[in-house]
Amino acid sequence: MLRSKVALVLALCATMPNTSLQADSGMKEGTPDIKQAGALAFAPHGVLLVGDTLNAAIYAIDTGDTVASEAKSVNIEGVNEKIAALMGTGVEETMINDMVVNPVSGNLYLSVARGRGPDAAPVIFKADSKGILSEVSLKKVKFAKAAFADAPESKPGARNPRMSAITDIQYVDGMVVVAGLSNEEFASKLRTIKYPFDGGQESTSIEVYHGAHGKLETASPVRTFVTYENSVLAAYTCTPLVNIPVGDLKPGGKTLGKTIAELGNRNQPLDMIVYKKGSQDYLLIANTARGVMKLKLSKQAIDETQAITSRIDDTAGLPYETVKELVDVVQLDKLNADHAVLLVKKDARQDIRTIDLP
Amino acid sequence: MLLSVARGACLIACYVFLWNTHATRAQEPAPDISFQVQQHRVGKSSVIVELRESIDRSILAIVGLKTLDDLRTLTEDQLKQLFVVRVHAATVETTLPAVLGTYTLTDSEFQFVSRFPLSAAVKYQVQLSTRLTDDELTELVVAPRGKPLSPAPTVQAIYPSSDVLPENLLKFYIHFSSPMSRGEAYQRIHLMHAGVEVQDPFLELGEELWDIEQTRFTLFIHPGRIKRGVKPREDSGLPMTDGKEYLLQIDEAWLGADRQPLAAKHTKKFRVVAADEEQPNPVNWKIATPHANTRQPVTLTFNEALDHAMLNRVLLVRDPAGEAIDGKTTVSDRETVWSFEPTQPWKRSDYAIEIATNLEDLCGNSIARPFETKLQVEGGEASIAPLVAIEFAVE
Repeated sequence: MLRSKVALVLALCATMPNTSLQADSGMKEGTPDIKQAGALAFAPHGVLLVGDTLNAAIYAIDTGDTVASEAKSVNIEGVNEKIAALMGTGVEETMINDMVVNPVSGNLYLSVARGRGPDAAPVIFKADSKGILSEVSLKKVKFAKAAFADAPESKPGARNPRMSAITDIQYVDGMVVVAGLSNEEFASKLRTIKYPFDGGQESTSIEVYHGAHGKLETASPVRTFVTYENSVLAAYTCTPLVNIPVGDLKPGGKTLGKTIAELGNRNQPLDMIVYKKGSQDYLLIANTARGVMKLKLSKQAIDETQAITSRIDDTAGLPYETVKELVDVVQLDKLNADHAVLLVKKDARQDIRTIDLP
Repeated sequence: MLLSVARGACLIACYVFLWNTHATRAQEPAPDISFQVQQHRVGKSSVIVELRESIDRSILAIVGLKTLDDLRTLTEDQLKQLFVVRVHAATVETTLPAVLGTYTLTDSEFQFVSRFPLSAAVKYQVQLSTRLTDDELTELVVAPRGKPLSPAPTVQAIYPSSDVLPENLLKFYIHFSSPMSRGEAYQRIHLMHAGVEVQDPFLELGEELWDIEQTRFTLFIHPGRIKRGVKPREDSGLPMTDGKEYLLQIDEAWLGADRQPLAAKHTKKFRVVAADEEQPNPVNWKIATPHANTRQPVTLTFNEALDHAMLNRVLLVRDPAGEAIDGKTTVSDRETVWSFEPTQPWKRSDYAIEIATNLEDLCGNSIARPFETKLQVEGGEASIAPLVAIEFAVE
């Protein structure tokens, strides 16, 4: 999953971000009414952010998992089989929705659905450096909930089947940014929610266009994103990688991003991380069909690269290479300064593997 | 019924399999178990393992234990070692972790309550320590019955319902008779032309776009194959082109939420015509107004088909005081007609139909903006109101 590399101050933030906030700021003890555990991210102090498409909400849960560890690796063969067994079911009834590393402890968190129907149970598992899986209990935990303003209605006679599938979440300093995709209208919206959640605020959505198509601009949904040097780097469903200055994300507004790379045909971006090796920053992107791509990143390169605004040619955009040894990667996150954790899916089997950052 | 089971070095066993439907144990405290009960006798001993299943809970209970009181000094972790429940692995070599659950000792039995109801899709291996039985390690296999199956699901409708569709069509809605299973949609849907499957026509998202009941699936055509200038369209072209016939095919193997496949394969045949790049414009719509003191519908007739789901959601009728009025919305004539029948008769007054300007046609062109717009200088475009209103008088 995704994590901010640098601290950002979003223009939307009305107050200065409070970096000294406690883990349980704005939280109450109870059992969050999560219906679907989807996209995950970590806020500071071991607070797990869980995207719930069915409730149209983001939950912030204090895991209490704040003991730093020297974990160098997490490896679990057949993680889906093991999770299925713990839940007392088969792999056909087990879906791993997302995977994220707690940057404080180095433990891995997985959001899971037990079942594939509308009443599938949401479950969160933790894996430690020994590869031992345990369920993260959601009973009597400290948590806060931020519901979206346009949550689907379900009142008799006026059923509203519209939902926004939450495709990615990221914490940036004092703010949670959420990418989503409606199951009805075609729109590109990034939502931002002030953090810690105070229970009263509504999310703000920003319509993001990008100019990748000759003289045509589009409003395609964002699939996955990271933040880097005061920018959101967003991978779109129609495959461009777009740079959006954070300062452009103004409430209720519309902004135009700069297309800095094309991720290729017959391909969907799945997950991204930013990391540093030596003095060079890199972006690593897992894709459905084109393996794992690696791009050299720098603010100067993003600023200076020629935006892709015409028919595709080889001179525009940032160059990337494919990391050949990484195949079938569906999720990735940074474990520490030198290692990444991958969720690898091959046929019906899923493994967790740790690699040296390429 | 008496069954014999022998597995590996485990010594068991014979167990009596008794099946009682809607049975409860009188001596136990008011269980919420009213669904079904199985009993498995362990070897020749007096010990019975009983599986009780209800809609949301499963209990495996060991009854007839002579050593029950001896167990009361043990911790839950120690109890776990004596009574292990695992998903029955397909291969003997595989050792799967034990099923999550809680262990308790009641007045008369040793209970395991699984974290989730046990599944009828798998079998469970129950291992009892020698401390619980007179035999050596005793193992038996139980197979939950689960919930009764509902009828096989069917495809009830596909929108747009027309059999003539534009080549830049953006999405289909597939409606099912009952909840479906997540995670296999894109394997089950095929776009066919002349008997050959069109490659990569859809936007495939791991999240899958369902409604909350999982009875409606939204299938987007890959936007990169529709938008001009992006690599998917540059390389592969439009997935559907003007003048050709196509078949949207839904496999009967698609499983319903309770793992039953569709009752039948479903196909939608359609012909493709030229792209639609025009925005819907209310100026081009016709309105038919009702009479006062009736519940006749007010009707809008469009000059093109609009998005079925959004027509049912983003229009409402307001009374002169600006209050939304209750009534029933109907979308008909291949999504070219919207009508609204109020719950209460119309009054002789002025009303308004309020329409969200994100209302789309079949190609993602909305009242507010076309699917593709001309590149604007930043901040150069006037913002479009989120709502428009069509006023009408009831006489």
